[in-house]
Amino acid sequence: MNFPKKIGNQRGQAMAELLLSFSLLLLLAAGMVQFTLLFSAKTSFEQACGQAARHFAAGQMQTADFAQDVWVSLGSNQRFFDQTTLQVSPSATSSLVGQSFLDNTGPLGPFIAKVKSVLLNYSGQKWVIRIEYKAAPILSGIFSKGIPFQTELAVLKYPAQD
Amino acid sequence: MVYSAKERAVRAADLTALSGGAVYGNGLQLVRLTNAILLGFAVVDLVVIAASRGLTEGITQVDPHFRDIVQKTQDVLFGLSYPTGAYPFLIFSEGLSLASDNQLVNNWPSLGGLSWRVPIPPSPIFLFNFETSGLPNALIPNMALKFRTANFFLTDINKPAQPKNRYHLKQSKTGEVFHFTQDEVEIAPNSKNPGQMRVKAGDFKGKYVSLAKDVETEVEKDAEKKLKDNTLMKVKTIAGGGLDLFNGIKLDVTDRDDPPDHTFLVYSSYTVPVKSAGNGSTDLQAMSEVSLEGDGLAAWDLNAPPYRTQLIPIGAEKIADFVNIQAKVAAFASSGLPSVSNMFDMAPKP
Repeated sequence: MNFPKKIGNQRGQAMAELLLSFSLLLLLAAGMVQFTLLFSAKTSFEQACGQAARHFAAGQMQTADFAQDVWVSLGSNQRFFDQTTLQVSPSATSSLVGQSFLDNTGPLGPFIAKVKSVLLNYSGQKWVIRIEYKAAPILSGIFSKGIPFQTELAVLKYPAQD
Repeated sequence: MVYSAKERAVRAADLTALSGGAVYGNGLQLVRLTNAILLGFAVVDLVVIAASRGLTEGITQVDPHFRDIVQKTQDVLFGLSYPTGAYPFLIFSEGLSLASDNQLVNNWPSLGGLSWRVPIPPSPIFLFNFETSGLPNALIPNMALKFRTANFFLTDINKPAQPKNRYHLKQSKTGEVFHFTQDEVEIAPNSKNPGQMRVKAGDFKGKYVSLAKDVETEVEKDAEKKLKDNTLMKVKTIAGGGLDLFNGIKLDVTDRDDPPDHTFLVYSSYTVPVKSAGNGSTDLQAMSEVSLEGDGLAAWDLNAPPYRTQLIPIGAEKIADFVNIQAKVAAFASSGLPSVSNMFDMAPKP
């Protein structure tokens, strides 16, 4: 009867197992770091958008400068994003109830517009903001085109023209 | 993911509060404008009365009361003697729309229907001038305004005298105390204690003195009281025997509180999809408050800078006030809050 030949030398087995498990652990740790960076970038993006909206509400900038303000507000976190992918889509807020009421006054148009600017001198803006996160090496393998972030916000400001 | 959602929830509450504040600020400018119009109408009334001096009728009969039209408009517009007014309701409705635009939970029914009721539990919750209105009243849209009455001109007489700024110096050897008035002292840049002043001239020149309050002698207090009583008696006589007459004379619209307090607070929920939660989502609560600062509401403040809205940091003690606020509001809503259909039918407050 033939028995399998006993492996003679088991030296290095522990080292080989350590290398295998260590590389897996390293991969896991790197993934954790990358996801942390991803969520940190997402939070900083949300903060930057809010900051820009607050600047608008305070009359410190016009809606045309919104994208630039978001980019500046990102500060040191700009390195996570690609500025060319930053898109801002402004639209009217669904509110402005009072202004809608005055808009439905028919032929009195110019006069009503003048009255409106005195009586309801506030205006609003809603934005949808998109940007792509430049994924770090491990995630970039999965998300080769970057990870898109999107947020929506709206605010009213008074006086309408500042 | 929740951290990012929390950031969005706080931001949404902040932007909704700022938006409500913007509409509120516009309303305060409207108050100035209507006060200016009121002043113009009051002048017209005075001119008509002055022109009719030769007639036999009394002033009340010749007074055209043009100003009453403006005052009644102000009353309905700003809700001065009603639980709420048209403009406070506009703030409320604009706030709701902005809450929806910012993805906050909005379960209020659309405005306009006569069967409109407060949802239970309501979200978002807006509190108007919470610090001075108290919880039940702050839930009803209001702008913390009132009509100024002619009595306003007499209030200075009734106010307790403010402690006069008097400075004292106590001699360490004898214990004798010397008093100095504001004019007798000057700023001492190198004083040991903050608020200390230095005597300008005389025997005690250069000596440091400290501020003393309530140093009036009994004789001084008695003299002042007698003076006040005499003045008040004269005013009462002029007014025809009662100060209540002055209370009945409405002037312009002014701040309800002294010092003025105009705040708008948003307590909101933001829904976050969470896979581990039983129903697949959870609500994050966020609270934000703004205050409005400005120079005043009188007609002559019409060209003053517009009211400015600014976010107020919310302290831990305020958060404690709002624990279970939705439950409290739901209790108020089901028991005491008037519905829109009967809100404007309520009799004016006495």
